[in-house]
Amino acid sequence: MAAAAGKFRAASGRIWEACIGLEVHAQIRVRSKLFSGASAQVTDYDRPNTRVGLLDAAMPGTLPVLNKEAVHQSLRTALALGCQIHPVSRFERKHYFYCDLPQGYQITQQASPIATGGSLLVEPPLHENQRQRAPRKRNASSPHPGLEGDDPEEAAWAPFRVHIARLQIEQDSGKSTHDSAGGRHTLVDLNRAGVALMEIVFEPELFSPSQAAACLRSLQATLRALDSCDGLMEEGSLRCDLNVSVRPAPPSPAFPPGPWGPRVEVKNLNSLKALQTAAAFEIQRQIALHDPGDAPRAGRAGTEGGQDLSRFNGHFEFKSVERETRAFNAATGETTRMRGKEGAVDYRFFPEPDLPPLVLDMDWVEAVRRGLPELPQATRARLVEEHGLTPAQAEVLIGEGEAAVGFFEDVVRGGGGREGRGVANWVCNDLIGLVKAKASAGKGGKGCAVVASPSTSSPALTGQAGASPTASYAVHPEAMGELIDMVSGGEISIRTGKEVLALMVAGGSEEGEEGGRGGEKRQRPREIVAARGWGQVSDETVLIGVARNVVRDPGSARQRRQYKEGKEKQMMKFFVGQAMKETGGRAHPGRMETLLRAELRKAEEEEMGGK
Amino acid sequence: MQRCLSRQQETSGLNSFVTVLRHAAEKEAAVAGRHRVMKGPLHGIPIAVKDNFCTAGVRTTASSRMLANFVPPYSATAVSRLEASGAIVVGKTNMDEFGMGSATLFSHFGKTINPWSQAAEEGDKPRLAAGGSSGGSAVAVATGSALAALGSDTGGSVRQPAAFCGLVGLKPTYGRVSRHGLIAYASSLDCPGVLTRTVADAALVLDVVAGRDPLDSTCLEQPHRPCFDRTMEAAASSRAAGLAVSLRGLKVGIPAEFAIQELEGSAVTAWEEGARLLRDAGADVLPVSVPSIPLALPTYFVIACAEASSNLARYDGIRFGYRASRSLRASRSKEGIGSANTEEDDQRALHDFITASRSQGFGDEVQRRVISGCRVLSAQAYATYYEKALAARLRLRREMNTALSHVDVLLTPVTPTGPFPLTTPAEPAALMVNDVMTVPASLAGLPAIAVPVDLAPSSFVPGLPVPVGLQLIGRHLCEQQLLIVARALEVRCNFSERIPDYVVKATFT
Repeated sequence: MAAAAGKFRAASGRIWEACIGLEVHAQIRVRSKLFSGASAQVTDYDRPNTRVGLLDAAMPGTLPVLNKEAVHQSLRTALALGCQIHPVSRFERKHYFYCDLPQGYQITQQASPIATGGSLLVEPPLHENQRQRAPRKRNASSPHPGLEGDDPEEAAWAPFRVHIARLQIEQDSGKSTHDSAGGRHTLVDLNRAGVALMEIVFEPELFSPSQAAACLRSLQATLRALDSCDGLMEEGSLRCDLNVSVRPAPPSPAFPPGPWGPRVEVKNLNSLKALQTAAAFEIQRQIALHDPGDAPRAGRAGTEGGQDLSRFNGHFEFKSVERETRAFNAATGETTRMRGKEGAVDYRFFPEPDLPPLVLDMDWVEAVRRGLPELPQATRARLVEEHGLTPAQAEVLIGEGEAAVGFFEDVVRGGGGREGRGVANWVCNDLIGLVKAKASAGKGGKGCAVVASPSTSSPALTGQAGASPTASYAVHPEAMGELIDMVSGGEISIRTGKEVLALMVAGGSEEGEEGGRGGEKRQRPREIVAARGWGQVSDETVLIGVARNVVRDPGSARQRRQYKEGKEKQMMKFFVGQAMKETGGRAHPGRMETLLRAELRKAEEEEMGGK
Repeated sequence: MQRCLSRQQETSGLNSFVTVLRHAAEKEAAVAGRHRVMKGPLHGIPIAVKDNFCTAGVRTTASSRMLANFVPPYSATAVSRLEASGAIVVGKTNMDEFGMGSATLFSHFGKTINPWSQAAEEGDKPRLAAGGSSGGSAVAVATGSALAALGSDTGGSVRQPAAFCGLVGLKPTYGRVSRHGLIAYASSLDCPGVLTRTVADAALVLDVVAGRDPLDSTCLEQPHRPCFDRTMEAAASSRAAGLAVSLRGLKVGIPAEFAIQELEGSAVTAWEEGARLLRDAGADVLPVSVPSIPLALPTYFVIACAEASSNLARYDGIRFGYRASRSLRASRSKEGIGSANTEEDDQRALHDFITASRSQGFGDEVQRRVISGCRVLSAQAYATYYEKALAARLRLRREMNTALSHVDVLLTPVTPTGPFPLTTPAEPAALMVNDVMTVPASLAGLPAIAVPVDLAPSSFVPGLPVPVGLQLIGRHLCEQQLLIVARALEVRCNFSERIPDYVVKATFT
């Protein structure tokens, strides 16, 4: 199930292939740092150097003490990724001098990491127009189906598995800020220094920028489902390095492909978009360097047909591309050189003498394996197959985390015959948005350090980020279910339902914040409806009266005439609207329409009779 | 306490202390004196602490210019335990910079002088070295400025100065005493140790500082078996039976490989005499073999330097410690204010700054070892040096353990020669030979103790008697047994009666 190779066209018209590998640093979700016991709950809004233990500042005489929970979380992640777990792994020191690396070395796992092997299922992204359908068919007429350069949208590719080389535990470094004004100072913040990371290295088995982004997205979803990393790329809790190499594509499958060109590493990718942009830029940059091409041929249609086969010998002579490390500039979308091969450092790895080997009790490993939650791909399949959700709905729910899925299922299970897709509509389209809007407004209102921007998907349904799945919901599943039942039973209109939900969300947390038992005090939807008199008017005589008033209103004589003249559909909308205005939106639209129709007919008859 | 403090003052010329805590010690002693209830077994006991153990609020230099003004915000576990048991820290003692040396010659604060050379009344006779790297601790105890001292032993840094100054020097099993707060030299070898006048005192202090510590992951989990009571019991029961300590049933091994060419005649004599005394006490004395002993010294230096190069990487002048005057700012602005510094320019400027701080902050010996360490860990040399050293260490450890499965303890000299003059040409390789007897136990992580046994005329200063010590190496975690044997040897040698007055003028109660 290897990935389909992406194809890229050089200026010369020659078709190239690219090969991409990812190296991901995921901040492990644990309370304290990997070795120091200092708080690991570090955000960009913390004052610098306020989350620093003695070890994190490399005070002489301090020694590392391994955070067991960080090992537990890494183990869960490795097990979920199907890695082979090593009963004995070791820590090593990786040396280099930098102002934000206090010890002069990073404690990492180089020669014997906690886990190796494993793989991750990568699925094509869901586009707006294909969310509810199978991936588009390939363009069978082209000799190079899915040529990336030709297709502004992504080339379609089938799901595949990318292999994992290794998963290791290591320390994060601090952060240095070079004073831009004149470059006189370098400011060092050690808050992040020593925070526990998992480094996950993928085999270079990705062949297009979209595959690379999909791989990272899949990993992000997996980590979130495990709750072993919050996966917030913008905040740096999930970071990605990229390596890219290219080679000319064989003109036909009969030719064996040649070797890949020099590998270039790109650092500091802090969003999926950055990853995809950087990969695309780097592929084009390298191809352009290898293969500047003859200008006249460039851009001519069908040049791949005229490709000079004699020049393809399977061993293209690579030139121009240096094996180097580059940085990505998100503002320009380009990569720039950081250091070349000659700048490579000898890290002088050696076993960390301050830490004994990490020995895992394999019985414990098995117990951890049994306790793993369902992974997003399995959850998606279940949501789609069991509950009839669209893949898009399933993705939204999964993207919100385990708590959201649990909430959804609680609502579905809570009442007889609640339809999954309907419930998902309420949760995905309404509830999540309301909760997020409130969360961001609340934070802004307090004027305190904002943790998550509204665009980031922190678990929206729970009271706060980091709450466990059992924490109090912003809305109780039972109340949500009751509301959905009221709408589907015709007690209230959808519009009223949305307003009730907004009130439920708004009321929910004020109490929730004060006391842990706020959930019981919250108003049920039925109470809200009753208190505000929002229930749908179902008394037939009242509705008939409304219909009569609306139809007989002298002001709507023109509309009555048009209705008679055949603009039935449009005019019915007008009359229903009028009726809604009259009832404050509480009339059942279907019922109202029937009554209006009858009343209009009656009025018509009366008019005819009157003449 | 007063006596110790005045001895400290009288002997200040020997340069055993980097920082004297006279005022604090007096105050604490007064408090201790008022207390009816003993805080612990060391209540009110004046103790000196080597200056590489962190002491909260008290400057801790490791005798380096790099840390000349470093005041740690916390105390080492060993120091906290001493204080919790009532001990009073009278000062921080001089040492070889970061523990790298065997004579306390390589200190930013000057050399430490062995009190045994004080007899040389004619001024032109050379002064002797105190040994090292815990030379200051040894001199503090030898002169009576403290009743015991904390030292650290990486390759013999407690045992060798103890032997040079006529003291008992105990290096426990690696991991028996927490390293938390001990400024690291070579992590896999560093071992807090104790220098005292008697074996019983060493046992008493060990009982206070030993035991597991959650702050040191290499500290052993097994509970510490108290040594002091057992040592005294063994002595008492033997006395009751009308004997000096009896060692009936005990097997003592004499490893042939320690009889190296450089061994002085007086050391050989003392070794033979020690074996005879143990035999007299009822022990079986057998020859044993540890074939890898010749590899011990080079192995030690590769591993120690490698770890040192890493452990000392943190001294970059950025967060604490010595900072070169040519600051980061200066070298950065040299690139031109406002000019767009590239990543590579910034890197270079930072590296210049770090290099300057380290070149000025570290002494020559430290730089030598750091550079050697970087070399043996480099990609080109790793397999030929570091990996081979690890393999040799493993082999040596296995051989030592095999030898100790046949016998209970090993008996060896501590040093090939007696204390040498301070003026000895500082030829690094020659100085390193001093560690040849002590590094095997360090590499194997085994407990070892130096016990003073005899006086012999110095081979460097004619006519001057100097102490000679013997080393006992015990089984993993068998400090109890090791101390019982040491005590037996001590009783039979009766060394304390032979210490000349000029070494210790103060008497002890």
